[in-house]
Amino acid sequence: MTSVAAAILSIIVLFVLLFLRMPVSFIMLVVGMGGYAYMVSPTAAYTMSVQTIYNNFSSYSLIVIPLFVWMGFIAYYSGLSTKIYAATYKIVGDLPGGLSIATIAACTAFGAICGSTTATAATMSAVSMPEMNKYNYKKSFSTASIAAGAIIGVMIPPSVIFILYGVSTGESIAKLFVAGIVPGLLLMLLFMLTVYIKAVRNPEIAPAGPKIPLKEKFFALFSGGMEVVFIFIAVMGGLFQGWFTPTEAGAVGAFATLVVTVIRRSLTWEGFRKSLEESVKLSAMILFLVAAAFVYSRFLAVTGLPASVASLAVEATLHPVIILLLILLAYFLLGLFIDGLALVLMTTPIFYPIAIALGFDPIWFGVIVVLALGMGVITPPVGANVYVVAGVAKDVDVMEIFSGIWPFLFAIVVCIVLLILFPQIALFLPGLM
Amino acid sequence: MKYLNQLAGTISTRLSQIAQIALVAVMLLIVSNIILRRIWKPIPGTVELVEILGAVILGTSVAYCLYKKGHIFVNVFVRNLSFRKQAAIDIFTNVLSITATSLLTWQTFVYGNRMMNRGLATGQLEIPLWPIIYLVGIGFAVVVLVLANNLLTAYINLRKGEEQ
Amino acid sequence: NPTGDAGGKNISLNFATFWPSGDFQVTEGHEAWAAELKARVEAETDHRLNINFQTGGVLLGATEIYEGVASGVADIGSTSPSYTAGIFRATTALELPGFNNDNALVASMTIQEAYETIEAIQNEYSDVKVMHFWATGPGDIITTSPVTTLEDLRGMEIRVAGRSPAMEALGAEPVSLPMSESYLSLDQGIVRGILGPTDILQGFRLAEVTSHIVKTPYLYNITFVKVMNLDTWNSLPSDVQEIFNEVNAKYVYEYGVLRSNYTKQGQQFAIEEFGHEVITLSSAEEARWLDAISGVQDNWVADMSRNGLPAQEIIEKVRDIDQKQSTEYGNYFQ
Ligand code: NA
Ligand code: NA
Repeated sequence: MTSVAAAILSIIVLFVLLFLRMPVSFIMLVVGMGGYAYMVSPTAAYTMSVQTIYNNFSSYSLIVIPLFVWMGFIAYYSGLSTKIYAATYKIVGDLPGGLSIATIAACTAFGAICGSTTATAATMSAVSMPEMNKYNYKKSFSTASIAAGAIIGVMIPPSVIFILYGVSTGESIAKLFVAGIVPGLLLMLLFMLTVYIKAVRNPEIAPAGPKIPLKEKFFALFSGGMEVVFIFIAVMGGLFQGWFTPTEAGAVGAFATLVVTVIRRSLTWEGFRKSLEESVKLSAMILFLVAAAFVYSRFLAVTGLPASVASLAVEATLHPVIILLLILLAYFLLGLFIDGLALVLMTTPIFYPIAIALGFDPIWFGVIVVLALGMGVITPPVGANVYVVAGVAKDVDVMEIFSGIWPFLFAIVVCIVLLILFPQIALFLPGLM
Repeated sequence: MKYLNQLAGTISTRLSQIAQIALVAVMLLIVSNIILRRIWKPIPGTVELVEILGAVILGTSVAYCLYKKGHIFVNVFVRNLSFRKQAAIDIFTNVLSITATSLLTWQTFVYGNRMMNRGLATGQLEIPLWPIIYLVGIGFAVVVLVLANNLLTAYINLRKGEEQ
Repeated sequence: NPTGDAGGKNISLNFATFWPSGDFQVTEGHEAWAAELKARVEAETDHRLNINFQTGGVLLGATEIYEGVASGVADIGSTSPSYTAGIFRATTALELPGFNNDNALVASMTIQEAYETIEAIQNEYSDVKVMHFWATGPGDIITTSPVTTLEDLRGMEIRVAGRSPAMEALGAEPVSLPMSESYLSLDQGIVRGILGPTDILQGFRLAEVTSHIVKTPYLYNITFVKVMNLDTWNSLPSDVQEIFNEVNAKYVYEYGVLRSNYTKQGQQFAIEEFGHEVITLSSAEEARWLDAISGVQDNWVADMSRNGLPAQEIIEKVRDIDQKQSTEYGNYFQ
């Protein structure tokens, strides 16, 4: 069997086991480890798996995930999220899909700070899922909007993925940071529009609330928001003052939320214990999944499949825009199976020189790549964000969430098309530097 | 059967309490470091300690997550099958998981041993890392225990052939 | 084992490295080495050689490469012994402050000769086949504000990797951070400088977030090693092994020259593109700095002797080799 055939067979096995309700993380461990043993040797497969898992567990940058998850559960068990959503409902509840629209805005702000799509998905679903259920939002709809909304933040600085792209291509990181802002906000608006259109067409998935007088809305803004405003200022302010890095922001967020809820006496000892219990459980789910996906993607790397797919896209001698679309298709296909950061490292060396040769702006291309990667984290079978949201919203099946994702995928495609037609959306701000 | 379920539940829950303590510790450590470096000087080795605590948090909570059915799976296809077929499928997938996780457990200890002999340590505080690797190994051993419990449950379901 | 098919005529090897594929160490270093091997194997033997690069830590991360190669995850790998602290204690002699360490070529020739002549260092690599060593250019203190005296440096947070007895001795506040955190930490002012060779100004884009370069070659460098899995090595035909040996020996020098050039280029890039100011300490001030770090080597000897290493002997040999290579290549890049 050729190595590419082994890779394709592994994908088939992956899907079969997925349908047999085996936990996704164990599937990727079994297939990745088994595949590596077949391709190289059992000894190599063991060392690769053990080191990969240990290093993901002890990764400094991944510690934001358990910390932000904890922050989310403190907010939930203290009743803070109930307060926020009650206020939000008063303010935007009469708009079709209003709560989801507000949640997408919150995902953007939160994701901009923490920079991890999975941490954003976990925290935001811990905070908002139970609340959206109360207001009768349909789960396949609310979960999909959180899973999708959580990817916007990586476009807005500081962003690890842009640092990675800058270092591996030699492009200015400062320019990449600035270039991501407008496309990020554009994506946010497109997602909000998606939610709005869906809610208008099917009012039962996100029922609009009663009309509320403007005065009362204004009052709700103050009553519900003060604690959140304090936490937000503590995290955002400290980040921009240069007191701490995004990696450290998770600890500050959890700490500030803990302090606020303890001072307001809204967090009981029982709630505190529950928040810890749920946090370690969810963190284990996420990071074991991340680690196992890494094991699997290392097997894929050694088969040479990513390089083969990439060169297929590149070797076709066609119109530059067609080649660009093929590159994006390759990102989408590889993103189905490989984690975003690993994918940047694997594919940038192949695609970047091509993009330059075709005359595309390298900063603009970086923004496009990050958008394309965003599709990967919300598509099956390796769609970390969807699994994370499913892990919080327990009674929704993963496939139901994936089924709610399509409109958001379409919105990302629209965003990419707009960027192709009007590159200035990304390049205007860096042009001023 | 009851005994194995109880054992898996107790051990994985106890182990996860280590994770909870480590999570509180890592938050306090990072926040203290942020404050101390502004008013005095940074805590030496913060990054290494965070990495160690990260390994502790995750190594000791994977089994608990499994016991609480926290790992994500796709149920839409299997849940419509007959009870006996579901049990047969669960037996098959659990055997796969147990095989991989047992190998992983054994090899984590092998790796820990090798790192003990070679002296792998953190760069700044020179903390030996083998005990942490061992702890992750223990965590995976408990994962195997929970998987064994799931396998036994599935086997009993297969024999009984219906839900009670 | 991925090596060999069709009766061993086609040799295919996986090469894992943490450097991203666009880094000069890959494009002009590893790929040139591989191309030369490939051409010679093809011309001089009846075999074909193919080396697949797995860059950017995709196959093995920086801390995983040595163990990964030893157990066959990849056939070849390049890494730094200092990424896995505690394992290569004798090798750390080469990274101590206080040597001439004029440029990357001197440092590269020094580490290679130290490996070839010091048994304690050889013992640390007994489970792999060492291809060859090389080293970075000398480390400078790259900062966000001017530093001209020891007093300026006192209490300043400087990013380092692992322990930095030199920075401690100078009274700075060493902060150990992953390289991936360096850009933002400098940008936000959480650290106010970084100790490293000037090629990182361009390679990691750190010129964007710093402003001054304090020339301190005697403080620091990092050694690198390229290793091959033992079984893979033993499976190679002897004529191919011979070619490997010859090309490896040549590339100690080649990589030394390459890194020296890029150390210069990185500094030039920062000056031209971002207006960096290069600070050369006055000779009186430099004497104070050298005095401050004079005890670091002795502390290392005391520390390592307790671990059962012939540390005094190692350090004396390394000093001799450094002196010799410095005389030979010290003025090479003036
Ligand atoms: Na961000
Ligand atoms: Na995906």
